[in-house]
Amino acid sequence: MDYTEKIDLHMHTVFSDGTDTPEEIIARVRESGIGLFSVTDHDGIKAASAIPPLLSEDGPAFITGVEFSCRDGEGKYHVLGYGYDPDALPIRKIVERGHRLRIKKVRARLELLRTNFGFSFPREDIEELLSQDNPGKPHIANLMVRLGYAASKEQAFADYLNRMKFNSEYVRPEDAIRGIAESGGIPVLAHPCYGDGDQLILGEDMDRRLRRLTEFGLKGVEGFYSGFTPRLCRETLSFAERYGLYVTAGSDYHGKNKMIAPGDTGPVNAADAPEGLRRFLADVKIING
Amino acid sequence: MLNIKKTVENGKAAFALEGRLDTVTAPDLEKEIMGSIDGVNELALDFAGLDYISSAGLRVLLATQKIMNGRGGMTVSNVTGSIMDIFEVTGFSEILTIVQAE
Amino acid sequence: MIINLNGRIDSNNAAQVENDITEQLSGRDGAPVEIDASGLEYISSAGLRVLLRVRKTHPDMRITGVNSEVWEILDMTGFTEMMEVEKAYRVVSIEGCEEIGRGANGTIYRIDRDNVVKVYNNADALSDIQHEREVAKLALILGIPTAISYDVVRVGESYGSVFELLNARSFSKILANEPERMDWCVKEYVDLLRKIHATVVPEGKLPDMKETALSWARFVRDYIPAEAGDKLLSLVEAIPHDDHMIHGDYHTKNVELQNDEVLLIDMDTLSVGHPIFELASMFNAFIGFSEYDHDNILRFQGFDFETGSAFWHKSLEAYLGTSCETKIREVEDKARIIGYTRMIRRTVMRGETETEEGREKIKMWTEELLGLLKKTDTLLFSRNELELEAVKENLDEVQLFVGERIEEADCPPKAQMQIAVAVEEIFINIASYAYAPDKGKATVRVEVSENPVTVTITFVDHGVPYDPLAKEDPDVTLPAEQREIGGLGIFMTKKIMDDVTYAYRDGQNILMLKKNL
Repeated sequence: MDYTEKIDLHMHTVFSDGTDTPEEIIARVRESGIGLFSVTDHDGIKAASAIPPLLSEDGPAFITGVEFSCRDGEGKYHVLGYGYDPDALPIRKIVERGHRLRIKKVRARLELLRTNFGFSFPREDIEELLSQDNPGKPHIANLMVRLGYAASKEQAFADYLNRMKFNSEYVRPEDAIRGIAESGGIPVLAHPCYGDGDQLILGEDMDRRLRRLTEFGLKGVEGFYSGFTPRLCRETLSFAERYGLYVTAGSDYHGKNKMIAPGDTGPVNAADAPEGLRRFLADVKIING
Repeated sequence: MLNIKKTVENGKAAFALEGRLDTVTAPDLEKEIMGSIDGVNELALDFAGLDYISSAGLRVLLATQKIMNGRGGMTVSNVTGSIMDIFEVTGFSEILTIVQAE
Repeated sequence: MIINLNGRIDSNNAAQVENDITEQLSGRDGAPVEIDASGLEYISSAGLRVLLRVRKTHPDMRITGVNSEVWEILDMTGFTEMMEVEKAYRVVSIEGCEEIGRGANGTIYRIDRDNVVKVYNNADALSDIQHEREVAKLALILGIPTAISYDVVRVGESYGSVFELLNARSFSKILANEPERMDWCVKEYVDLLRKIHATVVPEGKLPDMKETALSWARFVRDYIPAEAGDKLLSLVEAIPHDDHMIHGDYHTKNVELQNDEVLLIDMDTLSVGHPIFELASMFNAFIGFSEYDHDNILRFQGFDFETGSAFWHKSLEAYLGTSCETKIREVEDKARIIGYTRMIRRTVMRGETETEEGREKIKMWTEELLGLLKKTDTLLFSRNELELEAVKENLDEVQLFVGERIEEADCPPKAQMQIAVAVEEIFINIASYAYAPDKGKATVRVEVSENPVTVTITFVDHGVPYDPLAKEDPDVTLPAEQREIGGLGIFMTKKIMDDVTYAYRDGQNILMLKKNL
């Protein structure tokens, strides 16, 4: 594997909250001169089966990917999985559990919207909603706008969806990590300094977090990320070195939904790829056309 | 600045000096002489290119003269007017063997 | 293009904020963007990612008005090393504050017992402040005692930089209120000046005063007869480039006494150049600007014209290291040439030719200038005194200094060599023994007098009291074996020079060597 090539191992398609179809994303990847990519849709592995048949001999090469949103008593995590076998049971179980928990949460939200604000949702709409791969707040917001319960998506969030607090179940990080590993994949922590949308995890907090996760079997960290400053990149890479972890690079491309360009993996000089990245590329299962 | 040109042959050492023999350069001359003095019984110093000497230089000359007195001899040649004055004022004209070189 | 951020930015509204910003910046890719964060209370990592994305299309992005919490976040995550991030400035009022100094770029007020603020005239002063700060740092590193600004504040419509300046009085105040201390003031003032002029500045760090002076000369050339104008310009052009520091506005309001320390303030005009430029601005400060109206200096410095003149004269004498009136007058005249040139230009540029007074001033200065130009062939001068550390390594500099002075007096080569030997003996003696095992300073003064032509070299040190003449002369008739080197140097010196005298005064060894040429 020639690691001086451009790589982007963190991208989203219509299978989660991106706007590109598998064909479209391959085209974007090629246009951007990326030689190796992965699709890491939220809590879903459909791309892992959909993409390989579309690959051609003259590149790009592909790695199966996924991004699980996990949580436990200590915080929230986005766990990436790379190079797994999409037919393997362990990972399908995690996907399925995640889906189930999400459905549960959507139902609970809809119920709260009904009891607190009197919003009722017709059954067909609810079923349509639940049949999505990854139903979540954005889908409920769109539905609310369609039904006239909110003037805009933003207003739906601000006035209703972000205001409801309730306990929900999540996939635990150790389960996601194990599921990935037992399916032949490599578990990696996405953008470690950014826990969820708002968190900032640095220094000792990061140290503690990584130690816990590596005990569960975490094998790598996303050291190069579009949303990193050079300092955050340096900090993540130094942890990778300290714990002997793999290093990956990703943009978090979502198509038209976010202002991120494919291949934008932040401050990276591919020629000085750190050892962790080189080892990752040597060990992970790469699919060629 | 002091340039030292040294030739050693059959127990005779000749040093041609160019520049200044002062507190900065005198130690260099001393080192040069001490490094070549083994087996030498005649030392010749050519002052044709020397245009300055201070007491630091005189010190080296005196020390060398004392050593060579015990081994053979030392001569100083081509001494310019101003340096000759200094030799005379300090009595060094009597201590050193000053010659007119070929 | 300024974008305002207010309130909080977190995952709840980050997408919205990003859309807003994108809309405001649409079609302006690459344009300079300032994010005004004065209203921003908090930003989470979601917000940070938005900022990073904006920066990708606007690499010159800077963030201003940042409060301390937001600053912490931006600093921790490395934003501050990636781009310009400016903290919000606190506001300071100068109402009722005493004005203690005035420079070209701003006015200095005392805001409390420990601090002063320099308020800049120009509302767009941030780059000036930054520049002065760097210059002050450079000066401090090079060994010049000065204060460094520790904070930037808003003062009215402009900006100011705050310095810690405890318990300080300007030399102007001391001269005005304690005239009996004038001699002390002169000494300290000139010591600091010498130090400044002895400082070598790395290339490119400070502006070149010669360039400025040339522009003055070119300007004034149009206002005086062609021949004089050409001569003026050529005199200035003949001044060699000099990379030693000059202050540019070295008057007594810019020299402060803080407890026992003498500090230089107001580094606006710090430059490199030949000291004649400095003397020119000093002449203007003490005499030139007030020649027409003697009350001017009273208003500006707080002391009267006589005091100013006396101070200038004594300072020049001490600076040059000579009491020869002719020499002092000569150097003063050179300074006046540049001084008047500057004042003429300044007066014209300010439109004062419209007034009777303005025209009279220009007439007066022009007359002086023309008279001076007639009898001056060079603006260069040499100081007669050199002060430096008494160490072996400095012998070359001492020899160079003495050599230049006696060459000016057309000293014959043989005497030159002899004097050099004497200088070496005495200086090395001081370097080896005066302060051992510590180090200290020595002063070398060279004066040349006419009728008959005599060179007088004076060595001063404040080390252990030592009278070199007290030693007995060595016996030069002894043979080599019995000869000792000790005392030879002094002996040689006594023989070379025509007169050698020693005195011990005020803790100083003073050795004077005289030679008739």
